[in-house]
Amino acid sequence: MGTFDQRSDSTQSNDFASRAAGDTTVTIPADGSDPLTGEDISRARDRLAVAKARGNAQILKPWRWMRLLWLLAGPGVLVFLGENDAPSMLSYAATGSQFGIGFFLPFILVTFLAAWIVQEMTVRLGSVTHRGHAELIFDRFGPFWGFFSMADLMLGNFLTLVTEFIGIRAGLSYFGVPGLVAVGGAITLILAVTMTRRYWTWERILLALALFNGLFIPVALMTHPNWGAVGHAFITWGPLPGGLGSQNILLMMADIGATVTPWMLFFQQGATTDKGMQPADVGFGRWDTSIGTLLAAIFGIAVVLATVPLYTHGISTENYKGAQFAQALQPYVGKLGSTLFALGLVEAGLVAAISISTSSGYAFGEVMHHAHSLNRSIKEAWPFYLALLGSAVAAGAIVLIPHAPLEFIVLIVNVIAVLAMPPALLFLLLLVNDREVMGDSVNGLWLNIAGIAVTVLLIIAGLGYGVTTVFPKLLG
Amino acid sequence: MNAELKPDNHAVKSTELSQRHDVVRSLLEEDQLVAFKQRTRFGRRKFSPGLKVLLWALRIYVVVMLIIVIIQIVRTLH
Repeated sequence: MGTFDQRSDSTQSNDFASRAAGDTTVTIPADGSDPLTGEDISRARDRLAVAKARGNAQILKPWRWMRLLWLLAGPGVLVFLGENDAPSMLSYAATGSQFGIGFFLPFILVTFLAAWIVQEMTVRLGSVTHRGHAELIFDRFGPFWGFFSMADLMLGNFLTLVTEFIGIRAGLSYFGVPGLVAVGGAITLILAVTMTRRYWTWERILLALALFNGLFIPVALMTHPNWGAVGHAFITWGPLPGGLGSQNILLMMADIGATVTPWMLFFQQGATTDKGMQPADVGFGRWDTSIGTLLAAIFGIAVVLATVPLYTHGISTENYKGAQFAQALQPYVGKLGSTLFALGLVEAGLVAAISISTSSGYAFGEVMHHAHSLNRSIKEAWPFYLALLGSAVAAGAIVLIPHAPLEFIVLIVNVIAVLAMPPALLFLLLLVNDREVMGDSVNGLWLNIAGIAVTVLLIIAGLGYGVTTVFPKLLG
Repeated sequence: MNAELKPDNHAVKSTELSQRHDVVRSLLEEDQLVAFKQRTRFGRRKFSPGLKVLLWALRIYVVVMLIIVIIQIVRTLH
C-alpha cells in the first residue's frame, strides 16, 4: 500500500458526505471509522467467495486453485478479447489474404506476448492501489498532464467505438440486417449488460459473449490449413512475400504499435479495481492476463488461417471491408463458415464496444471524483453511466448519419492510438516504478528490463508508424 | 492492512453481508473502501528536469503529429 495525503481542498473533503446523501445504502458507523457503501458490500460479496475458496490452506490444492482462477479471472481475458475487435479481425483477415501462411503467424504471437508484459503492470497497479489509471495519473502528475492524458484517451476511445459500430453494422449486413436495427440492437445489448448493477454479473455476461471470439477457429479448420506450413512458419518466421519492403515494415510497425492501445491500460486497471482484487491476487491476475493473451493470439491466428484460401486463389482483397471477407470465403468454407465469420465480426465489435465504453466511464468517474463502479446504481453513479452509455450512443449515432466521414475515422483511429501510446506508456512505467504508490510491488529488475524493452519497442514502432504515415515516402 | 476472513466467519453467507459490517471490513483492505479512497489521494510526485523534458517532448510530438495527420488525411480524402 502506498503513501497517502488527505484530500486538502474543501470540495474533495466534502465529496463523500455530499455523495453519501444520494447513496441509500451508506452506513455511517459511530466509532468514526470509514462508513460503508453499497459498493463496498457488493465488492465484499465477491471477496467472500474468494476468501472461502482460498480457505486457510498455505498450499492450494488443484480444485481450490481452479476455483480461485474462476473467481479472479476476468479483466485480463476481457481486455485481450476486447482488443481482438472488429478492426483488428479485419486487419488479420487482410494479412491472411495478402500474405498467406508465413511470417505474420509467429509475429502476431510475439506482439501479444509484448502486450502481456505491459498489461501485467496494470494488474499490479490496480490490485495494490485499488485506484484507476486516470486517478493515479491525476494524483501523481497533476491535472495539467492528467487532462492531456484524458484527452488522448477520450478521443481515441470515441473514434475506436465508432469503428466497432462500423464492424457490427458490416457484420450484420451479411444477414441483411438494416443499419438502424444493427446499431440499435447493439446499443440495447450494451445497455442491458451494463444495467446489471453488479460488476460480477457484468463480467460473467461479457466473458460468455467474448468466448464467441472463438467462432473463427471452426472457420479456420474448415479451410483445412496446411499444418506443416503452419509449423514451418513458426519455426522459420517465413516466408514473407515481398520481403522487408517499406510496405511490410509499415505493416509490422502498425501491428506492434497497435498491440497495446490506451483504452486497454485504463480498462484493465479499472476492472481490476472494480473487481476488488488485492495484492494476494496478483498471481491469479497474471494467469488471467496470460489466458487472455493466449486466447486472443489463437483467435487472431485463426482469422489469418481462415482467410488464407483467398491468398492461395489469388483473390485481391486490398479494398475489402466488413462482410466482404465473409462473402468471399463462402466458396471455400461454405455457407456455415461464412456465417460464422460474419457472426465473429459482430461479436468482436460488441465486446470491444462494451469494454471501450466502460474504460471511458471508469476514466471519467475517476477524474471527476464521482462514483465509478459497476456495483453502483444509476442514481449513485450517473456520471459514470452517462459517460459509458453516452459515448456508445453517440458513436452508434455517427455510424447512422448519412455521408458521415466514416472512412476518415477508420483511417485516423489507429494513427491516434499509436500516437497516444508513448506518453501513456511513460506514465505507466513511472507509476509502476513509483515506490510511494506501489510499495514493495514495484517492478523488479527483470520485469523492468522486459517492461522497458517492450515499452521502448512499442514507442519506436508507434513513432515509426506515425512518422511514415505522415511522410509515406520516407521508407522509399 | 491485508484483508483476511477470520475462521469463524467462513460460515457467513453473502446475503448476510449488508448486516455484517465487521465481516465486510475484514474482507476488504482499508484503502479499498470507497470512503477511504474519497478522503485520501496520492500526493504529487516531484519531476526531475529530465522527466519534464521527456513529458514535454512526447506531448509536443503527439500534438504536432496529430495536426499533420489530420491535414494529410483530409487532403487524401479530397
